Amino acid sequence: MSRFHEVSALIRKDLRIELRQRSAINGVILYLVSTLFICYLSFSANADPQSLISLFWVVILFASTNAVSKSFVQENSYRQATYNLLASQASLILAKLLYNALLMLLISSLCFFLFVFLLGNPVQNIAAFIPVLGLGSIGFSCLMTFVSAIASRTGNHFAMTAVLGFPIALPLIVLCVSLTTACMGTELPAGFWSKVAVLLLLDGIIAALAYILFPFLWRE
Amino acid sequence: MKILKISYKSLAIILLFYALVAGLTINTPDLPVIGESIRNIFYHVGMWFSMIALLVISVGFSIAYLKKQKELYDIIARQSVNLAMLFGLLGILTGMIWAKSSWGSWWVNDPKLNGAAITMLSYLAYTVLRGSVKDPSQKARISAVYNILAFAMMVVFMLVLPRTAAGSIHPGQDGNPALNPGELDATMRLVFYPAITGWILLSVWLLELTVRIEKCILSQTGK
Repeated sequence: MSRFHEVSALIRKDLRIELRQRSAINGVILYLVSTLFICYLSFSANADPQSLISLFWVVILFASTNAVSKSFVQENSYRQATYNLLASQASLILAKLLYNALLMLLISSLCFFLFVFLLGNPVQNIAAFIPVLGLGSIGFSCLMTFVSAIASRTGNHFAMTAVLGFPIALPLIVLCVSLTTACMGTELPAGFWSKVAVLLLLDGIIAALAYILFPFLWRE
Repeated sequence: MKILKISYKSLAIILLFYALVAGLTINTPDLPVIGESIRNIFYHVGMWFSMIALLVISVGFSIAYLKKQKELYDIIARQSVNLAMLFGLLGILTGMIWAKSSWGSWWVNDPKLNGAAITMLSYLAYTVLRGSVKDPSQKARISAVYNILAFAMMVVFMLVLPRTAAGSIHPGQDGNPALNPGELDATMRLVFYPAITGWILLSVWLLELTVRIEKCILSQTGK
């Protein structure tokens, strides 16, 4: 029960910080709008659905890097040390993973609406696409949360998040693009749901690794 | 232990010498397009097997480091990654020569080739990560954590990517990055397996040497 209390208190703390300093969330939203507007202007009308899908997931990857990378550096190191004393490492990472997953779900659905509005909808089978979008954004948020935890221990946090995160984000992005391509028509190809299960499994692996390995990062 | 050490090193020399001589002289099946260049299989595939072996060693020692915090484990993990990058680079170079002769270009957009490139990128990121942490014990700990994450993602990538792509012109199926042993000609198998073993033994030998050098440097600067 105490684990649950710790996690929920930490999530509420993060939410309160987010609402008090609106600049971070506003920054991510503005980032989305301007990126998609740049895509809209540079792709104009001649993009095929396949490129649009790849573009969508690349935008999501960058948005998750942007949104999540502040996780372990937004508060100063004294306060971080206080949290380490007050809560267990496991609660800290669980709270961050959950909070960022929720944040990323919000951001990626917003991203999808803006994308459809500006660039058109490449996906016909929305019902099959929703779980892909959800699981994909949870995967990106978990991976980037953990990578930013690693990067926050180095001197060069923001550059390191991208350098460390992008190569290992590839299995996720490849899987998401291929699943979204499968949603392009109204008929789902065979083996679609087993691939969705692989995506779920991948999310699980990332979250489990983050949960197991996180305490080693903060041990002095 | 001494005898065992000498024997595995001489075994590596014997096997690689055999692979060099027999690999260039045995009769290979006369296949269209690929022709005599099929002999490259004894050298190109060996690079990838050695790289994977070194990465497995590296992640094993990273886990051991997180458990026991012994400096030696960190040295082994790091030197394995360095050597794996050397073998990976050689694998890409031998593969590029082969690709030019049989597919007509130095690089093709193929899931297996891209997988190799991405593996190289994520482990180069490991090296950059090591460079950006100052404190030695923190450096060891943080890079061990990243090593485990990168290894897990690499395994996933090898299993996932071939299944999502439309198809590959590179031999090998379903997460097997190299080839299907069943498709290999019987005479070629007589050279192929010893060659692979020889390359892996050579990589372990090189690892032992680099670790020993690193330990010497450390004991000199430490005092």
